[in-house]
Amino acid sequence: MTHRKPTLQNIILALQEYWGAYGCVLSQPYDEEVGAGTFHPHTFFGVLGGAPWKVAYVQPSRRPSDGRYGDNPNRLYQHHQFQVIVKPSPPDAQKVYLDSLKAIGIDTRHHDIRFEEDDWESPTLGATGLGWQVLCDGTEITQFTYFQQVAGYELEPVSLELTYGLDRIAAFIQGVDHVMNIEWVEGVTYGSLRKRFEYEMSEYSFHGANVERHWQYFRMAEDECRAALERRLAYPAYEWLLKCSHSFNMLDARGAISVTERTGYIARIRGMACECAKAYLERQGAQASS
Amino acid sequence: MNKPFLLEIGTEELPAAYLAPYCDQLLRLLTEEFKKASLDAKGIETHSTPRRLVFFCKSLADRQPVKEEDVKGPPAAIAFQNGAPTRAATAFAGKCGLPLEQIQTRSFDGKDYLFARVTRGGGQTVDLLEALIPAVIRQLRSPKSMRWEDKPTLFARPIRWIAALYDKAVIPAELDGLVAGNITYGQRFLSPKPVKLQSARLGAFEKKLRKAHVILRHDERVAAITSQLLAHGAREDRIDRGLVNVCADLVEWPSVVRGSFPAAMLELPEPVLMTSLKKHQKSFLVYDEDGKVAPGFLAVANNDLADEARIRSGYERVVVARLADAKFFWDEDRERTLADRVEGLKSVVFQEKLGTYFEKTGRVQGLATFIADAAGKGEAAHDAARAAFLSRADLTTAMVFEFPELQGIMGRVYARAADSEPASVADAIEEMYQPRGADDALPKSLPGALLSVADKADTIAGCISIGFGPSGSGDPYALRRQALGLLRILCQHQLHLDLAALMRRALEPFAAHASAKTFDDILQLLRGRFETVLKDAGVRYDIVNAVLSSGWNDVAAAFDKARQLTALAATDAFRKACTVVERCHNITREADVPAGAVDTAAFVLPLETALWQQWQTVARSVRAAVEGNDIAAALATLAGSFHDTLHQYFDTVRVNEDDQALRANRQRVVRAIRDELVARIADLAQVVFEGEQAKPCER
Repeated sequence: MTHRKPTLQNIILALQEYWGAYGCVLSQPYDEEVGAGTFHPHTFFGVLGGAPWKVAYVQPSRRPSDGRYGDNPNRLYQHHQFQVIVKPSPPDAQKVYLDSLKAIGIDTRHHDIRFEEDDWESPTLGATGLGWQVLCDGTEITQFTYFQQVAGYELEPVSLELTYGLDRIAAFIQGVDHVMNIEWVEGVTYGSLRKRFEYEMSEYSFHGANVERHWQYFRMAEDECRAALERRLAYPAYEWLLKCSHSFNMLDARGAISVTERTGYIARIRGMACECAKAYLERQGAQASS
Repeated sequence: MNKPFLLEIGTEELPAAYLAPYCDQLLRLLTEEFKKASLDAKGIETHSTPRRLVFFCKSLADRQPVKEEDVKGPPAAIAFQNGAPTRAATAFAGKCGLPLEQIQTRSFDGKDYLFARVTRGGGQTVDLLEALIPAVIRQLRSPKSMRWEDKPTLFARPIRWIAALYDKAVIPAELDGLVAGNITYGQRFLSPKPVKLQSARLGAFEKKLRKAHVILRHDERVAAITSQLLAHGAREDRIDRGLVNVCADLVEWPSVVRGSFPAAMLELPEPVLMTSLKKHQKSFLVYDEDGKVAPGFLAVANNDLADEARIRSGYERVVVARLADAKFFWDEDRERTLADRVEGLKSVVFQEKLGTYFEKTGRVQGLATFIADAAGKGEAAHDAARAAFLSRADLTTAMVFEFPELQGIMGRVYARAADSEPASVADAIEEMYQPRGADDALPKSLPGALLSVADKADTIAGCISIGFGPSGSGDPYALRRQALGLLRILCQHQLHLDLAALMRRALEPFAAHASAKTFDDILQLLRGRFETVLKDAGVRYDIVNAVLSSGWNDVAAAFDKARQLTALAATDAFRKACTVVERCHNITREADVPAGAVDTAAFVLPLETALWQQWQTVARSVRAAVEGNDIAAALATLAGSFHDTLHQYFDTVRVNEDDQALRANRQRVVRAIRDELVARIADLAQVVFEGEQAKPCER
């Protein structure tokens, strides 16, 4: 290691190298708007069924209501996750994870590393897991989850899901007080690449997005998802579900969904997710028996 | 011989809130098992850290006591045929582990049976423990539990090691392939190496753990955190004890780090600073000498702070970011007044069938005015209605979106900060949500009380009209709590009003959803909760029944009456007044008293006239006393000469006379007295006196 602090690019490469050596397939981000790496089919479908599976990938993730015009030191409309799935969860999961922190230059002896209870759930995917948010000196750097259920299915075996918050980790490691000041690669800051995007997407999400059209889009995507499900096409149905989920998040950012209404719409998306998983497993079953 | 036993269940980091309940269960289950096994056990204690649950017994018998007992077998007639043992006999002997020669035949209930004298108990404690440990672990329950890998056991987090020692012996108990040993682990980062235990002694165990950067006892961790907080300048009276307790169960080696944030952040209101620090960072706010908020925080780390500066700078960075977030909300929210935000509630749904919060705002505004009028509190009507108008506007603010627990609090703060609403209106907005829980305070101000009642009445009426009332399976809109709050406020603020009329008014906007049953369901819910209010106020169950059957539509009055009756329950006047009502009640209890007024011309005996004349005076006095809210005076009136006259009347006048007309008139007299007293005071016939077996039945 040089005396220079690792760039965001170095961190991604180090994690890929570490998890690649561990035996993970190094996959690529999913090309749909998603709120988290969990929504990638390599996770959503990958954790279903009994076959062992190890995968790692970067996933840019959009959360319209977290947009802060690029002003907030930590919060972003779109942040970057490094996602790892290990099925079944290994007995030394915590150690394997902590070793990955050392691989990106975090000295776990001299920081306050904490595994703090966080019972993760994604109501839209009907997914639950138990685990922690891993904190480093108070900064949440990873979501560490033992997946218990997805789309209503009890997972056997249990999968380990690690979701690293790349932007926060980079800011932390580089000791910068603002995400825009992160060095993406030598001579290129995060801000120079992302600031305008953050500003415009925030402005659009909070003030620009047309609520009526987004509702239309939501309903259209829902219809399309159902239509694909009628043909038992799990992947296309799932892509339309992701579009529903994203419009829902947009509408949420516009303040167009009340607390009570939210439950109803989430239930609708979850219903689709369960059907997608069912269609996926049907096909898996058919392949296995043919 | 008794020896110490130590069990440590080593886990991945457990949720803080689970530690104490796990310890309680461990203690209860193992104590019960020792008892069942007749094992003498003394000096039991349990301890926990985020990574371990520890059970210790200072003195545990090394084997079960030996007991001899007779076991009954099959009847001799079946066990022996023609003098030869059958399979029944050999099977019984085999089961008892005895040769056939040692089986006896004895008479039992007049028939011969086989009997065996067997020796039980005497089991080695180490063997028992080996089976007990996994069985008990599998019985431990937590609010949420999980599976890991492909193992069958459910636990809050994966179990990674078990240390089990009886004195110096390792107990090789096995749980899903994990075998217990004599190895423990210290703090994960500061002492990563395994630690070997020589014996089950707790003192030695604690010492080894301490050397490995683990403080085993919760209380000791609390003390360590508290003393460090104080050393860093926290003020004793401002330390959030609940938060200290939580922090103590999140760390094994607590060290308090003091950090600071820019003084500009002090522009944020104290509840926002506190909530942000507490909720996101489990950190404490620092105050200066004068009790004012200072730009600093205290965080509890699980580290020895060998490189304190590094940890501090990390904490400061994240705290500043968190506060910057709050500052963003604070600035953006204040760009618009609360009044301007009300319109925005049109797109915030309260409940799909019940419309938006904008609509609710309108309804609650109307109700608040109605209640002010009904309760004769016109002076607060304006403030209550204004507060009602603004009450939900903070739901559209970013701060409340981020910290829902600040709902109402932000309403108050924003009303004062930018809008210059009067304090009375601002306070009422916050008070609308009170009481937030069973122990929470009630609204202090009158506008707050009126608004809170209005909002709760609207929620109750609306939710019950669409069938979302409380049921056996749940109470999704917490209507029981809402009803309880509503009633407590009416009582506390002495809001005398017609509750049925209020609820009918609250129900009007929901006429399209309501069924014939809705109104009754609402009253039933309120009645049940009112019983709770009375019982919580220390009212005896029989007085609760007495008051409720006399009518509780004016709950403030009924509450007052019930409390006065409770205070008077030991007096002679109370007992006598009860007798009056009870005797009147009993004698006409089963009679079908014909309708009609008492006919004074039909009185035959002088005592009839005397009683009726005296009653006219008594009734007037009772009415006056009750209207003056003086139950003691009402009881005293009954307990005076009227009590004696009535007794004399019952002793000499035959009420249930054979003559139909005479009987009807006398029954009307007695019933009239009873009905009037029940309506004015309470159905005192329901009061039960100590030692009373059954109510006397007079005819």
